[in-house]
Amino acid sequence: MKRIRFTALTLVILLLLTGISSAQDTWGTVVVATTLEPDTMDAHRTSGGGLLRFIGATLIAKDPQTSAYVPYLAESWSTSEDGLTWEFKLRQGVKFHDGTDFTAQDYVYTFQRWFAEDTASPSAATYSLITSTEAVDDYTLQLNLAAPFYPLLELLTQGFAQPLSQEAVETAGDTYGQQPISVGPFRFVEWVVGDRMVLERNPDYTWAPPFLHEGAPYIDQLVLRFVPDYTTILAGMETGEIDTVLGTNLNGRDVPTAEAAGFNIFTTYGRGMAPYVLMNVSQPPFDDILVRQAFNLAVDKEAIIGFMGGGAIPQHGPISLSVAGYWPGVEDIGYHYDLEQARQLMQDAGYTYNDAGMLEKNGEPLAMKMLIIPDTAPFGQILQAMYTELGVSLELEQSDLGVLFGRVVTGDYQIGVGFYDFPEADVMYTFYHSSGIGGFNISQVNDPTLDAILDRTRNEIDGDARQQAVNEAQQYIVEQAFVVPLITLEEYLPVSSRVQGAVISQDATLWLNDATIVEN
Amino acid sequence: MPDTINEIHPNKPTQVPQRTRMLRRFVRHRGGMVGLLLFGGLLVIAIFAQQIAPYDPLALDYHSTLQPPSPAHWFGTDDLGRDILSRAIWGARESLRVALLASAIGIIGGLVFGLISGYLGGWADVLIQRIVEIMLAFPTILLVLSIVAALGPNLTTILIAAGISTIPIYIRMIRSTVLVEREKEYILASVALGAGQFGIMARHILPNVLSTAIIYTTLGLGGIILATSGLSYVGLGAQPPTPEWGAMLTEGQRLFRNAWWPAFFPGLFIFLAVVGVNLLGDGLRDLFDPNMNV
Repeated sequence: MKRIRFTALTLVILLLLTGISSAQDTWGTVVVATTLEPDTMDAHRTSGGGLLRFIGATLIAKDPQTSAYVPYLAESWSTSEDGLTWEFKLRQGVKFHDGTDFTAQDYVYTFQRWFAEDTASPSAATYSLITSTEAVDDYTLQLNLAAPFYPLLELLTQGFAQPLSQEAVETAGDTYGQQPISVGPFRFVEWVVGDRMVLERNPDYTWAPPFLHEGAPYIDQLVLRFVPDYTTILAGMETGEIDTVLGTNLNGRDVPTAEAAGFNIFTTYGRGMAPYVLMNVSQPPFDDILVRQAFNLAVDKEAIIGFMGGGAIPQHGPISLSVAGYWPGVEDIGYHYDLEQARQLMQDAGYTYNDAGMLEKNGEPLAMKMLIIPDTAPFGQILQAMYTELGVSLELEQSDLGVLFGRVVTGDYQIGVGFYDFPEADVMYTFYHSSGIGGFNISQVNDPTLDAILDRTRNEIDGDARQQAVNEAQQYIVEQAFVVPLITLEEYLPVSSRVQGAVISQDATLWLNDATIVEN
Repeated sequence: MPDTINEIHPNKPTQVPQRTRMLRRFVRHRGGMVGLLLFGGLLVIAIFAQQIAPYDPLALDYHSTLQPPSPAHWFGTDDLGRDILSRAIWGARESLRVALLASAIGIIGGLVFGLISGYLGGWADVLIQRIVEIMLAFPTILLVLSIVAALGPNLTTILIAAGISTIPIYIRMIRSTVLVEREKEYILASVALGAGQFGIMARHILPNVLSTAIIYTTLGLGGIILATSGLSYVGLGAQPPTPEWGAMLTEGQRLFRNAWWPAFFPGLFIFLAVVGVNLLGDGLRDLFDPNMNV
């Protein structure tokens, strides 16, 4: 099997001629494994939307090849001069899985439920600039915004933003998350918690986004297997029980094993940064820009990549090159490894080196605990060694993700190893705008200058002006050293060679509508 | 008149001190000796880790990640380029320190409460035994997890948790030995002579249950080594980058499909330590068990 590498603008679609010719006579089941079982399949209540796109559909989709926004549930859309009103013309003849017709009213209900207080949706805040929705007629939906909101289209392609059927939600009540109903290519069949979720092809899905064939998927069944242990997934791939893996990155070292087991490996760069160093800038020592800059300069990113045996690229800004809106200028103004300068900055900040070569201030050693989770433990140990070189006495504190998240959200930490996954530069607003303190602004940044720039990244409707604001935000965050960017990992998405026609976008979104099974 | 005695008992061997006789019997006990060598060897390694380990167990080196065993790195290196032999040697210090201290907590607690419960009897016995029953009713792992949850995951917590969780077992064992001992005539004689209760416990009963205590501690040590490694393995004990066998095993498991050595060697050390103490414990039991006297 040849390893296929994605570059920024290329996409490989495995729609081979054999795939098309055998499409009609080979039905079957595709098994997708993941370590991350969803908390619920209720699109409004879940914290992760990765699997929602199989059962649902969104107003617009993103072309896997060009990344352009293309029609999906909406056939066309337009915006008003002031950018405050968006109108979507909806596709006709779409049916929910329970047989009812899909209309603009359903989307009005969906948004009302999403933003309702007692829904307590973790994703609602991201879409909070949408103030109201109206059904102009059965097939015309209008979204009203509080302010121009540039990332709207991107956010409307996310699995969270799928329509729900009011009847289905109200009939199911609290159990809706265990028996979701939407309009997508696959219908929900059953969910055995801790083991698997079974979906079947939706014969009423007679449509599709333009980059896929129009009509229902070719395969009969899609089985999502929840396997908490990564090595078990690998074993499953080798025995042929697993066709592809989602939400869990294949380790670069295991790529040859997967290829030997008959998998095609699609390589993309992660849509975010993993890992990076996050600092609580509201407290000493990280309230001092000199210390933050020193912590940036003391990290040898090439060495980190060396430890991983490659499979990553260094990052210099708050968003990585795989995130839409990336400004390459950060590579010039970013911090490059320079231990001597880092040591000098620490001394400028009022620290002195004692006889053991460690930093102290007023006789107190500079000591701190770095929060890690098991997945980031290897990086934590590398960073510990690098910061020890700087003269910081740094201990690692390992916990699970839930504990770590609780601590960073409340600012109950000094330094930690973080990671994120988001496709658009709007993530800077989420992470660094002061309105996010107590939420995703885990670095506790409260800077009016930055707030003003970030507000512009949301409110500029002109593409160039918006990009200008996004660039300024990246520049300012780098200058203020609010984050220690590290690396972006290559991600490996394995797809068994028995599955032909899987479409994978450059942000590693997997579409199985065109997939067929080819028994070897 | 020593000559006369020899004439009366012509077959009696030359008097050898009891201690020497026991030592000889232990040396002839093959399992016990193997255990002593294994465990003693690991103890020596643990004590002289600084001198023996060829590399710094924490030194990272990205030029030599995941090297297979070679003359430069006998046990190979892990994914961060650290020498596994050095880490296993330092790991002996961490693992054995925790195991020995945890056993000490267990046996000291067991001796104190076992003596009181067994010798004093009455309400003290009833109270202690009910508490012991409550503790035994808890699955050990649940007890340890609650202690770790309360105190936070690190080796000291594990040490305390593993120690406390073995106390009730030791109390039961010590108490039963004390019950036998207390009925013997020399105790009766001491009571008749007017010795105080605590004096009798400390001066007469304690020395006689001590051998039992040592044997059970040694036999229990293997279990404690496994338990502490197991807790570190699931992330509740040693925190990275501490070289502890259980924690090393977890790190190695992640790499097992590409490299067997990061998981194999800490596993081997755990195996050798547990086999060593178990054989040693068997040897000691055979030695002190009166039924084995020939």
